[in-house]
Amino acid sequence: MEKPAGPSTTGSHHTNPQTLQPSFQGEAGEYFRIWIVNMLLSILTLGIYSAWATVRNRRYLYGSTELDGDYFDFHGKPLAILRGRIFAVIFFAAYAFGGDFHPVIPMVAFFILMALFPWILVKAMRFRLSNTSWRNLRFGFGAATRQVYSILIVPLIVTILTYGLFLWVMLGAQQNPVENMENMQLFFGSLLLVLLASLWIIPVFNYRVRNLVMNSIYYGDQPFQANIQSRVFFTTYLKMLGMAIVVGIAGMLFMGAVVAVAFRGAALQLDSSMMFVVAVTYIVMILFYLLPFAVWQVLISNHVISTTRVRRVVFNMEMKVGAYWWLLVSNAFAAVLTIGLAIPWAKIRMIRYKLSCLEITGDVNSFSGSKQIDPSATGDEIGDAFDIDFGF
Amino acid sequence: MEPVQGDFYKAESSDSVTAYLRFTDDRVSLEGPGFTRLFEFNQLEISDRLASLPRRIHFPDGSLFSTRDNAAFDQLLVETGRVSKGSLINFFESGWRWTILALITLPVALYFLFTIGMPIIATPLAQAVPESIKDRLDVEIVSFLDARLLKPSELSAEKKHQMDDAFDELEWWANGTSLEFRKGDALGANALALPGGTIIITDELLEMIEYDGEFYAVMAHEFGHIKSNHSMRNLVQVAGISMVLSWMLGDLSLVTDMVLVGVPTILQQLSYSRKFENEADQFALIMLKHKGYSTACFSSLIEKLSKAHESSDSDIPSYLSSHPESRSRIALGKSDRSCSVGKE
Repeated sequence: MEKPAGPSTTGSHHTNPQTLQPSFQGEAGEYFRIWIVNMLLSILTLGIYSAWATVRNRRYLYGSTELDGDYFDFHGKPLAILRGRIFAVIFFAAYAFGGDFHPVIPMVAFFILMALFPWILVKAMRFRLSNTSWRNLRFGFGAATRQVYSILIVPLIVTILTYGLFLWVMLGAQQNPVENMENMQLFFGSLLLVLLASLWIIPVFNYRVRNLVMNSIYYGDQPFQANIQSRVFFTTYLKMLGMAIVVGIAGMLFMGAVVAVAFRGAALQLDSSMMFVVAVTYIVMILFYLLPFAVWQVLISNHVISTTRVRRVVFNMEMKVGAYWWLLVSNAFAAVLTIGLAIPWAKIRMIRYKLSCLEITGDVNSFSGSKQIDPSATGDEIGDAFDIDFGF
Repeated sequence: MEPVQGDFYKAESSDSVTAYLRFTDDRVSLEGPGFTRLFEFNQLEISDRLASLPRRIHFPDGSLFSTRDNAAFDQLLVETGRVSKGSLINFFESGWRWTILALITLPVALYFLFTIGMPIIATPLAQAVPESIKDRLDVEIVSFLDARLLKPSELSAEKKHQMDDAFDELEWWANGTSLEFRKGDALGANALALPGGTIIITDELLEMIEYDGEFYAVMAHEFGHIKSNHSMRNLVQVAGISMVLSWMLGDLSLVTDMVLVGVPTILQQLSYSRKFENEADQFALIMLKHKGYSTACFSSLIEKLSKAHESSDSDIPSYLSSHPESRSRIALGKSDRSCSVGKE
């Protein structure tokens, strides 16, 4: 239950709901120094310090994010992160390098990861949120692992069956080189099955996860409520798919033109012009590949965040696909051209853009209470290792 | 002693009032409108200093004091003879001088990690890989190479037989190894030693070989790689490096991951082999001597290979370019009697 509004130091008006714009008060130069010093210490300690480095990096980014004159805070404990990280590294190693030893290893790792996904999700969200605070109140995550399993069990089983069949066919094809047509038919049949299944799995999976996550977040003792529509996920997925096909074809045509110009009919040779083509391929891939990605990120985030409220505070997110895509592209180029040194600057740019598109309307004062959960970091770091961002 | 001004939040509440923090010898006092609280210093949980972020002091009852006056707070700690935790790392982070030093140290540290640290870690790890896994790896690598680079051998059955017989004559030197014939195609004249003891020799290389001694020189060189577990060590090192890089750069987008992690790994693989090639060469010379062949066989083979390499118009760094300077390699066995003389 709400407490009566207490004395406010910010002098905000309680009668009219005010619209607040969060901002990022950090500086790229300052963050760069923190980032590089912590990176060096991580290397000198063979990665052990990286857990402490992660905490410092995240504290800086959270601690520079301002809302209504006050800053967010990150409270994660390095040892919890280190524990999770060791677990994640073992998993990541099996996934990335297991294939060198036996082709079945990454496949098994993939299925285990799929089966553990709901558990990892809950752990990761709980760790992140309950270690985040604003004005002395922690956020929290209320969903139980069993809840996540119950909503994801069907998509997960469909994924394991269809992708499993496809991987199995691929394995078979690797062991006996493609010689009979049966293999080819099986290959394309299972590929088609996977593509058809993804039309349903990807939007449904994303919708269910986002919906549960957004409706399980707490600030203090107040639950977030989000009225997310599954329809938006389906239409956005189709838009993204259409765009992927268009940019895919455009990209191939462009590449074809580049190859034609570069070789002018001469036989393909492994020389400097080949290097040129490889370089152009990278650039084209970055440009084109990021466009459908930007469409998905922007449309889904806008919808999800804009339907969210906590108590009587409502959120509104209005990112633009073009601007977001340009940020992704220019950040990627900046990072590559500076051999990674521009990463802190790129990250801050992205945070600034996201915050500039976010509006928070309503009375943010006088929240109270908190849910105390002691989270282990395992899930959180697995999320990091596989580059899964669970949103918010 | 001046007090530090900041915001005070009661436990489980997001509302704050302005308050003042004072330190005495063993106590900390907090004064706000209408209240004064006293705490023991060691009851407080003080956040480490980080740039200009507000400093948070958490009290045991869940209340919080937050101040943006980091300098005054640190001064208070120092004046009362206490340590400001995290001030050392903050000192390094807050000035450009140390940052630039870190920037220079970083690649140097990475260089030593990859050139000295990794091999030290990789050697016992590679040693621990059981034979069955290495054999399995050979099967994988051969099928990978067959699919992408190599073609089936075009040697006559008679020639293959002859080579197999020559290989068998190596007796115990060849223990744990097996010979495979392939057409090199893009790889040209070449021989490869895989972790499990499989040696692939290309038709193009066999065409160059005039004397048994030269064939044994090639075999001995590859045995050297296998006996010292070079392939496996290389695999472990490269896997280790890409793991370190992807861990360190884990906060990148996947695009930069692809570019930044891919390139150094390949460079690393090339530069490692120099030391390994020297070891394999030394082993080759020893085996040739033991088997009663002239070490000049090694030299004449390298000479042919480097000539073939010069005349080829390919620009890609070939297997050969990672070998030590051809001239110094040729000199290794030059002083011995001519290879054409045959076995002693």
